[in-house]
Amino acid sequence: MQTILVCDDDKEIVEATAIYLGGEGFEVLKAYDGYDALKILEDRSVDLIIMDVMMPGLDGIRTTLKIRETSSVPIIILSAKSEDTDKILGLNIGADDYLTKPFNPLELVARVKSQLRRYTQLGNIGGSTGNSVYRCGGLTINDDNKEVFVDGEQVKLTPIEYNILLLLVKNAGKVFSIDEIYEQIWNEEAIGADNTVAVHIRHIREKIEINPREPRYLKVVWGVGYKIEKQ
Amino acid sequence: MKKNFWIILHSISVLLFIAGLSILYLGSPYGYGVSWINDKKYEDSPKFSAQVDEDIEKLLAYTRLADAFESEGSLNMDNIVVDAENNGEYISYTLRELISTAQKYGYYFNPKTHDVTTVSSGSSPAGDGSLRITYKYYEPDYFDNLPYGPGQGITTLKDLSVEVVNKLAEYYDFRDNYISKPCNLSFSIRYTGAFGDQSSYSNTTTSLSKLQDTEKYIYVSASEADADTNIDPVPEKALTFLSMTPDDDADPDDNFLFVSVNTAYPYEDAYKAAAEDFSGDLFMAYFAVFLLIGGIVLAIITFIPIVRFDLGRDRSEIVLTASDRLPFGIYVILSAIFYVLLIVIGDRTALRVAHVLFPAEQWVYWRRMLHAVILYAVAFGVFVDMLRRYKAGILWSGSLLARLFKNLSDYISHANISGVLILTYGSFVALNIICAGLFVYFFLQDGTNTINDVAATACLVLLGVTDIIVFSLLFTGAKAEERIEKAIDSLSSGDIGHMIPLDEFKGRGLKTAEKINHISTGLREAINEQVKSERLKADLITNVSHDIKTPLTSIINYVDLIKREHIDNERLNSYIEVLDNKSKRLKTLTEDLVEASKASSGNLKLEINSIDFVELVLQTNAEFEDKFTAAGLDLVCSVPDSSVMIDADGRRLWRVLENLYNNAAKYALEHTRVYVDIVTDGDTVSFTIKNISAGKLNISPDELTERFVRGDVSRATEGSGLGLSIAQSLTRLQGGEFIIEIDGDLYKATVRFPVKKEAPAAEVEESND
Repeated sequence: MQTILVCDDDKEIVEATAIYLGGEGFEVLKAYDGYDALKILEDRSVDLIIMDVMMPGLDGIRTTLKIRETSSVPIIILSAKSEDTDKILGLNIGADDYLTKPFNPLELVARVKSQLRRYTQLGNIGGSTGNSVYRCGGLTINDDNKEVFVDGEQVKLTPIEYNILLLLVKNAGKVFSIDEIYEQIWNEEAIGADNTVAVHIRHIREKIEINPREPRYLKVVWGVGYKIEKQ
Repeated sequence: MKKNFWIILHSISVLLFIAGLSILYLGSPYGYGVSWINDKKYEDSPKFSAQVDEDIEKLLAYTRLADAFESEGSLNMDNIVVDAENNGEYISYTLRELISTAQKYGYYFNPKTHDVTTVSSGSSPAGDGSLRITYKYYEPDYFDNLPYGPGQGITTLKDLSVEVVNKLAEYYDFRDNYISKPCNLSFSIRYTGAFGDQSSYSNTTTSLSKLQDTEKYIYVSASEADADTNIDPVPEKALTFLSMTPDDDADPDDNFLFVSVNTAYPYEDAYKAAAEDFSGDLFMAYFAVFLLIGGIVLAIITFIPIVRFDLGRDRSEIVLTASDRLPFGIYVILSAIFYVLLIVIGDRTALRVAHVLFPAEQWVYWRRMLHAVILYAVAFGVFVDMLRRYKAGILWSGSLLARLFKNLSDYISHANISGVLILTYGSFVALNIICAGLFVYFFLQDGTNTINDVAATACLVLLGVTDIIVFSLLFTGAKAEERIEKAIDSLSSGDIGHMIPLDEFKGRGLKTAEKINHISTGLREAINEQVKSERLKADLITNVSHDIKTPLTSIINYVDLIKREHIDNERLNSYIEVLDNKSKRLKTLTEDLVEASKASSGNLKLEINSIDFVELVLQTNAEFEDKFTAAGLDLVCSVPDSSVMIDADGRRLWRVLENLYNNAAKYALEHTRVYVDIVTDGDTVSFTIKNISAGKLNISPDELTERFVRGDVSRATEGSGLGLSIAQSLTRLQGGEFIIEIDGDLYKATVRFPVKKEAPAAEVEESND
């Protein structure tokens, strides 16, 4: 049984989170500020930490920094602060994911599972050798048997969706415009504006992303095109 | 008062000085200075020399008269003394005839007293016609001095006879005093007369050489240019003797003048009296010099405390009198009037007294002295007053000039600009005309006069200097005006940070510049204040939203947990649904609120990149495909085939479109079409979204974009009502236009951006999130 530490100064949120995670079969440890969390971590081995930012005493940022000195356990920050700068700060100091309040319980559970899979099972899938395996963070494509895995879990894609994703993953970091993708996949000149490609991409996102509106892998560069974030 | 004491003392010292000066001036031989007071004896003094000089003059006059009046060494009344012409008839008058004629007219000569007495001074008797004198025997150089021309040398018989009587008196006077009577003066004179006759006069038998050894003497001979004498200073009259001799090579034995004075003074005469008085004179002279020097010293000594009395005190100690309230200029003018009055009164009183006390020949001196004293007294009074005013600090401030300046500057500072302009320009023109006129005047004057040249040049220089000064003033003014105008320009164009450097301005310009700076400072402060308060508001909203989000999280979570309990109660489930909806709406509301406040206050960081508007619309279309389908809406999209590049923040512009699409999805009438178009005219690109509103749009487009205002006033549906407001703010922040139009139920939103001209391809590659 995997153990998850939930740290938040709001007891009801900790309680609710514990209920959701407990329902999924995790053991939940509760902490109400940074010191609590650090104390628990001294005694117990934990598989994942959910951390609030704004807490009395030691806040989430400093606590995360403290934990990162000794441990690489996955940390998901759960904060009311929704600014871009807050998210960037959180991820930069060593958090693995950032979720804003109020959160969707299902999304939280999905992210927790995703992090745990990456952390514990990554080696198995990524172990397969050969040039035909492409990896980007938790996203893995095995071109030999046309399989796509997100955090170790297989995802079913249509052939076109697969080809688009493969193109983007192969050129991770590069932005492709709709026309470019069209020409690469359909092998013909793009005639006129069409949102076929955009619709396909939305479908891919819905399949591989936990929250398609805030994608981790397939990102929309608005007004320019699409890309896979290089990780 | 102490000061008055010193003033009285000062007056006394001035009087002492005047007394000394008067004694010296009036009592001693004028023209010889005061160095004679070193002389121990009378015969060494200039006074002695002056006496000898006077006697020589008398002697020379006597010899002339004697030549005419005497025959064989004695007075001959039958000698002809005057030749004259009367109406072409030549007449010679003898001395006797003229004396008796004079007696006829009432002029009697008394040989005892040598006086001419007038019995009756009647006018010329009838028949006494005009007489032209051709020669006077008692004036041998009459011909030399005879004035030519008509009417010259004309006299009446009466006047002629009176003149001769007076000459006779003169003759008698000298003869009786110097020849008939023994005296201390000895003389011997010989010369050749006008007609070659020899004349010789003497009152001594002693040989000349002996007289030379023992006495004071002077000897002038025709052969010598200078006098031989032991008298100092030389009696200059003796040298006029040389003009009496016909030529230089005359025999010196027959042409000489010798005068000597016996310094033992054995006889009673002017010399003895003067010699006896000399010690007294010397004492008076010493006394006078003492008075003079003492008066000056005392005047200076007493002057110092008078000056220090005022200067030495503190300003507060000085008591101002009523006269001090008068401006200094008025005081000076009054003093001048007072001076004139004193002169007039003095001439009528003090001078009359002087006329009684002093001989007539001193009257002129006393008049001058009186005027000098009055001038000194008045000037002294003005000077002391000036000192007091200076010390009291009102010399300038209380003066007429200061008042004039003050009034002028008051006028200039209070008058309007045009008034000052007229005044200054008028004086400038007047000065120019005066200078030019004076220049022309002096230039046209006699060129040989240096003063005229200098004056003309000075006028020209003054003219040039004034014009240059005025030009530089005008130039400075124009420069200042230009700078002020620039400042106003930049201010009106929105550069409120612009400050005019004040040190480059003067006078009126400085005031204007200060005011403009004041305006820009005020504007800047107001705007900064507003920006600050907007930011504070945005921060407040952000913080409040954070605080709301935490409890909201629990509400949403626990509502969700209740739902998971699968309660078997229809009514309860519907309640829970309401809670679920409202809590989710609250979530949207708080998120939108933060975004709206940030967008409207400009308090967010834009990442402006080159983006393809067409691509963005296609991406957005894809995102909303399902949503529109679900809402029963048909999306009709018309965009150009090629890309249209603009400068914008892609993510924010997506938010704009997302809000507009969401609006359409929420409020469009079911089973209608939603039209999305991109139209470009080369310079701008316009995105429009049109739909038929499900509800009645009875509000203005402006109200639609205002916060919390939505198409349906009831606010029954989901959403925060901030969507359009956020869209509008974000569009404007990125430099675009955002327009809402309503035509009946037709709702149309337009987002317009300027098209970016450059080739798009390269930049697209580099752009990333």
